[in-house]
Amino acid sequence: MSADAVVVKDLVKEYRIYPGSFARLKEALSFGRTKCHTAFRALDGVSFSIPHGRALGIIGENGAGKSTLLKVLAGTTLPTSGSYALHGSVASLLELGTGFHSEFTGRDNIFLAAQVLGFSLKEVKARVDEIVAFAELGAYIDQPVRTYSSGMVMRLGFAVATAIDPDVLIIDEILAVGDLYFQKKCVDRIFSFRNGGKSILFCSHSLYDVRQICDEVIWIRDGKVAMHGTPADVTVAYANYERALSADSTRLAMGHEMLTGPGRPTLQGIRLLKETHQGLQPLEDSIVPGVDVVVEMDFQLPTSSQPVHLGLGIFRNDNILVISLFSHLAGVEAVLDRGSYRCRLRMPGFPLCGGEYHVVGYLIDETFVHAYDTRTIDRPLLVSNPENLPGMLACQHEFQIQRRDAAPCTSPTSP
Amino acid sequence: MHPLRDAFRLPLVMVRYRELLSAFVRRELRARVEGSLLGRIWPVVHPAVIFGIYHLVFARLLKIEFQDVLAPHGPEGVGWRSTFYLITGILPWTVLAESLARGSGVVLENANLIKKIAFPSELLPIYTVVVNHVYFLIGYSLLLLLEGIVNGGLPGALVWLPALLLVQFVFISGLAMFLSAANIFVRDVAQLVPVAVTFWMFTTPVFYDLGAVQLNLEHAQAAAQSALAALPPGAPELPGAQEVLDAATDAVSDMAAVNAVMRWNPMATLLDLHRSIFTYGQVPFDPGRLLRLGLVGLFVQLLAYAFFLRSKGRFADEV
Repeated sequence: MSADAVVVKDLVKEYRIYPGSFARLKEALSFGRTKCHTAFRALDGVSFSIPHGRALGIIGENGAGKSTLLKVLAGTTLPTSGSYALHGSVASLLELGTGFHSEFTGRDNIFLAAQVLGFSLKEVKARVDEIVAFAELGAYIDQPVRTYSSGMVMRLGFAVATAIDPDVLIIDEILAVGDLYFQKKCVDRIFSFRNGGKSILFCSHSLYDVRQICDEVIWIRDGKVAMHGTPADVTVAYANYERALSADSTRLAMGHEMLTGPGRPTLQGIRLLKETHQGLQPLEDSIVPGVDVVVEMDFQLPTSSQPVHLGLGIFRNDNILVISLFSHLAGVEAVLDRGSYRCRLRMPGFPLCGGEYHVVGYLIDETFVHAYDTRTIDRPLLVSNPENLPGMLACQHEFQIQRRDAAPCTSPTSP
Repeated sequence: MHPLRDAFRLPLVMVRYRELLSAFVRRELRARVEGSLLGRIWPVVHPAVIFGIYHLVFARLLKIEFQDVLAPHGPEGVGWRSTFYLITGILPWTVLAESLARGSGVVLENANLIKKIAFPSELLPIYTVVVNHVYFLIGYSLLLLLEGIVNGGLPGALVWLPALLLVQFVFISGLAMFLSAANIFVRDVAQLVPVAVTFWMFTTPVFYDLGAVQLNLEHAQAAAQSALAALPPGAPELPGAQEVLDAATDAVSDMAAVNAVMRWNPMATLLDLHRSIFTYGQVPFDPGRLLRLGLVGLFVQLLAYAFFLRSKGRFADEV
């Protein structure tokens, strides 16, 4: 047996788009001499591999090629070029409830759907009770499926599809199924697959689920693997990308009116540093939450008539202002005298979780309404998310747990 | 993959997936009657009523006695000849018509399965043909029952029935398989099928008496020939002589056309073979004809399955 459960190499899938059925006929009748279609590359040279017992997450925008990839791997469509190999038995959950006939009872449908999925009749008979129990449909199991709610169909579908014990499980965006109670059962079952040493391909828009379930993640963009790495890195990079797309402009502002004209104070430089035992050092491009960050700003006052306060804004890359800090609010006197200055702003235990942030410095006048100058650090600050925390902030915290009831007695109480 | 070579593997595929195939067949059989009051009795009631109607209309009301040599010649068969002729034609014809009508659309109808699950999609056209053979067998049992009642026995040529059904299955499933795949790429196929089947029906002696047609043509031909013989020498110059000559030529070419259609139409051959079973040897069952029809069916089946295998990889993209 090879070391990898799934090996995908240079996979290309091209769809032919025809302007109409007549063009299709014309092309078919010309035996390749006329080309009437335009080709659309849904997958453009995708390569990756999954070792046995690992879970690979697939994320990406709608239309990026995720579902096409899963369809090729599930064997429902052929790739245009490239190769793929799956070792061991494969079960694909591309859609739940496929193969159900609405006139038949849930129990009847278990048999047909499971057989379409590749079970033998013997296997279905052996597992039908287990499937019925997992779906938890009660007396409805012997009612026609047309009387089911959509959630009940999904539950039955999931129960059937996962009753098989595959070596490789392909799952496409199905955890948004049924109520929360059933979702938990589904996630538990997926976890038990993972812990049972099965390989999983998991495609989802829920970055949280992907982070919880997967060992590795690939990000598909325009049919290509844009990134392949740990769930923390890839999901953060993808979330950053998504947010940058949704940002309406690149204007990062806190609402100050910009003053223009000659002779005003200027912000000459702004940089990020970190505090270490060896003193201040330049900050890496990517940091983890909780490091001690120092922002250094160099500014100059050409005259003594313009008092200056300092401001700092940290924007997430979808232009949401996350942190704003002002020297006057911190009780620091305005800088009055003409000359060059350096300001160090210490932020111990940087509180932001995974994301991409823009850091902007401001020189503000004594009314706090106008800004003399502003400067953005060229490179965005990348904060990784090693703990896979779903929130935005990592605040200082402490958990304390105490009993509220009386401690259980081990000895019998005397009357 | 070599579609033409793999096309020989259909029996293996059917054996390997026999459980799934039978699950599909049972689902289809049940789905048609599910929820109805008579339920599983319908497949029996249906042909019985049809047989009754044909007997009533043709034998009792119209009192038509079919002329064809293949009209059954059972010892007590008089009065039932038309009925048996019609039933022995309708049963296999219904298998063809229903299999092609349902089969041409069956892959498209199951787009959901095709797109989401990797499974042998060739089972889809196959199961529709199997289902129609189940109905055929129910109808055929009624026919045998009727034959037993009317004639007090069954024809010995019935031993050929299994071979005949095999050939019928191979031929019809080949057509259904080709149409089901073709319909994915050109959706007009499913629309064209009923039209084509109707046309085909009128070139096959299902509902009409081929013997009567041939008799009419023979009469016309004989009349024209005797008129021709009655013409005096130097006749071509006489008025009306040209018309007589034309009529004679027409009659001969019509006869040739009818015979050619019956000879080259596999369904006409199939119906002839079915009907010859009930002639009690007056028209002996022709194993040579069965073999030729079998070869035609095998040829159709192999080409159709090769086409199906070549195109099934694109089904999920096209449905």
